[in-house]
Amino acid sequence: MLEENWLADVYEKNRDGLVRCAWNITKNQTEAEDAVHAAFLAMANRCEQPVDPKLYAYRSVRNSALNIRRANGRSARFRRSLASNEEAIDNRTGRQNGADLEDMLRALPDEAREVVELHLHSNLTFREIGALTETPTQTIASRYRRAIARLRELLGEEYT
Amino acid sequence: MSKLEDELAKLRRPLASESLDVRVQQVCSKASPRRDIRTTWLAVAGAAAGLLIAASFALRGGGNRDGMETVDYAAEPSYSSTVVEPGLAEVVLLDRGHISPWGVTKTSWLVVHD
Repeated sequence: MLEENWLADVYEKNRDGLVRCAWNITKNQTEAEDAVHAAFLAMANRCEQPVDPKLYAYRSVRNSALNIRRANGRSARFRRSLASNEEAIDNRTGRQNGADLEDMLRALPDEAREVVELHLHSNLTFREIGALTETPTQTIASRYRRAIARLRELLGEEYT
Repeated sequence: MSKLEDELAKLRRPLASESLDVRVQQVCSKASPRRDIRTTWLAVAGAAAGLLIAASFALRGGGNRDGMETVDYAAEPSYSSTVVEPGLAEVVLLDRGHISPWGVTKTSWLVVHD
């Protein structure tokens, strides 16, 4: 790949996954796209191609999304909404439509939810998620297994 | 992939919009020329700085300052080259020069015994 094309190439191959990675953090499409745009602006100012452009792009987008969430002061509101989701789940265990799945996913601890979403919605491997979050691959794998087991527990027999 | 994982993967998630595509494409298209210009300016600035350093070095007589390291005893056998004690010698500037390894004429100082 020519050096001047790596930025366009990494966007073309990962555009949806990158937006979803940012959306997982901001929970807002406009802000997620702003995060992707900001990350690519920053990468464009980089003089040379990174060793792993895909991972570098995900890391930049994730950091950019975290900055946006921090700047907006959404973090506290986000945690409060998770707590209310947790309460709702206690009352609704057993209902299995998409909205419930979504609620239950949001009720997972941040780290576990991020692993599930990056693996299933951004199609990253455990190794890539580990590199992205600077966490050992084994830890990522066990977080994922625990998250799935917890969701099965909440959803009841249909998924066991 | 289990049924649960399959269901989770089907949850509605945003896709990159066309407007984002345009924004990122603009970034990508501007990135290369800007980088080229910056690289060129860096190269020019680096070369200019290198020339300035080289010129300064040459004008100072190959790195020797104030004749401190240019005592040229061999040119004047009548003077001793023995190391002198402080206060027992005078420093004489000889109004002459010789060609240094860098091709620049430098002034020689002689240390002369009392």
